[in-house]
Amino acid sequence: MEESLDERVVRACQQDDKSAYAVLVKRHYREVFALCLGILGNLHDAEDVAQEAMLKGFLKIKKLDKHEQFKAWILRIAKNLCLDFLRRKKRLKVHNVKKPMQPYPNTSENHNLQQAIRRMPQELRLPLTMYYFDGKNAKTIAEKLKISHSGACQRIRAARKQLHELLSERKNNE
Amino acid sequence: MSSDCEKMKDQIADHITGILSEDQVQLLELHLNECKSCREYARVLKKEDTLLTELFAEIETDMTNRQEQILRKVNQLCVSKQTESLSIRRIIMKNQITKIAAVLAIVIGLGAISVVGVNISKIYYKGKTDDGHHVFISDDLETIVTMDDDEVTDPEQTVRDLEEMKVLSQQGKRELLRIKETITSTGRLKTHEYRYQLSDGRIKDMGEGADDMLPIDEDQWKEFKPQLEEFRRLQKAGPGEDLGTYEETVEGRVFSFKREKYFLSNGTEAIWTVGTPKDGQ
Ligand SMILES: [Zn+2]
Repeated sequence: MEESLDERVVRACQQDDKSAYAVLVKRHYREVFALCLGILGNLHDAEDVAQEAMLKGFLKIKKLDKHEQFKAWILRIAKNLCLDFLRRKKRLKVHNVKKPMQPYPNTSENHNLQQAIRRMPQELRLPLTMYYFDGKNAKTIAEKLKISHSGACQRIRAARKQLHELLSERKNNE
Repeated sequence: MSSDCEKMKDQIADHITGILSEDQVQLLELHLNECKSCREYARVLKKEDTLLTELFAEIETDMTNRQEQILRKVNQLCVSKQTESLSIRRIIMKNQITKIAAVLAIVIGLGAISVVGVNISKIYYKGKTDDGHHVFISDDLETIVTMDDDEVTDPEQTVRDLEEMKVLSQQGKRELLRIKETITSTGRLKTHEYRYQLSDGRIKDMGEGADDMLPIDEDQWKEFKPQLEEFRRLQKAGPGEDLGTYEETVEGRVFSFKREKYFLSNGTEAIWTVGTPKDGQ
């Protein structure tokens, strides 16, 4: 069902129906964004890169052969852009160019939480982000990350424990 | 702390994650009854879970805005490539607060009278804005009407007129005169101009923008407004570059549209579209 709608819409896009792409944005943006947030750990970077990915998808859609695979395709684009972004950012750091700190939706209470999430290693942050984005369902994470159910559970557990440590560490230092 | 406790911490994390089996939950609860430090650990972890849930819920609330921003950019890509179809349908509703902000700001944008939305319930007069426009608002906040000073002599009468127009609009008793659209690199404004005939014979023309025709939020409006104003000045000075004509059916009637392009001082373009019924007056 999902596949066939995407397939139809992708074909419409390829036939220059500009309004059709809105359907794809609506259907898949959220997941693209969640992936970017999971990899990058920073809300505003995630917004920028997710947007770039969706626009790239729009411009390149004629190159997508298998119409039904838009979702996998756009997620791959997003992931590559994230990795590019991290590389660029690293370079920027070397040159000591600092972007002002971009906050998450801002309440002082979750400030520490955001910091801690940002400090997590990517391989734990991504499952954690997906978990809270996807209605706290370990099974969908296993599917998305293409790992076993127990593997997904393990990562979420590790992520939660590490987040707790990062948060307590901070508290103790204050 | 017993040697069990390290293992229990895994189980506590799993329990909060919702992946612990029934049997294990019972064992865990037995341990928690006895072990204060694990109880504390569970409490803190639970609290963090709540905070995480709230944080992500908050991030979620902006999702439609993010999508709209993308659709806007897609739209601009279309404009800059001068492809045929300029309209990307906005398929997502804005949240109401930003809608009101945007609509209130749009006062300057439209002609003499403008109505936003048609599902008018009871209308109230809200007074005048700083720049001298009268604002009327429906009690469900869905409809905001702004009028130039010289259009309103008696606000009470205007309220009655608007309520009558609401009924006419719901009955389809109005005529679509014109469709206008302005697209710049920062936004898009589209209005339908309708003509109403009131029961006492007076004719009222209203520029109406539905919620898919307005700038999305205040920030965008701040960027869009100067472009719109510059475009209007340019338009007064003379026609833009002709981009040709096309036809489209709107509300069951064929309209002919013509498009023009204007170059703004910051190097971007404004595309102006106006459509009138093909079958003439
Ligand atoms: Zn214990």
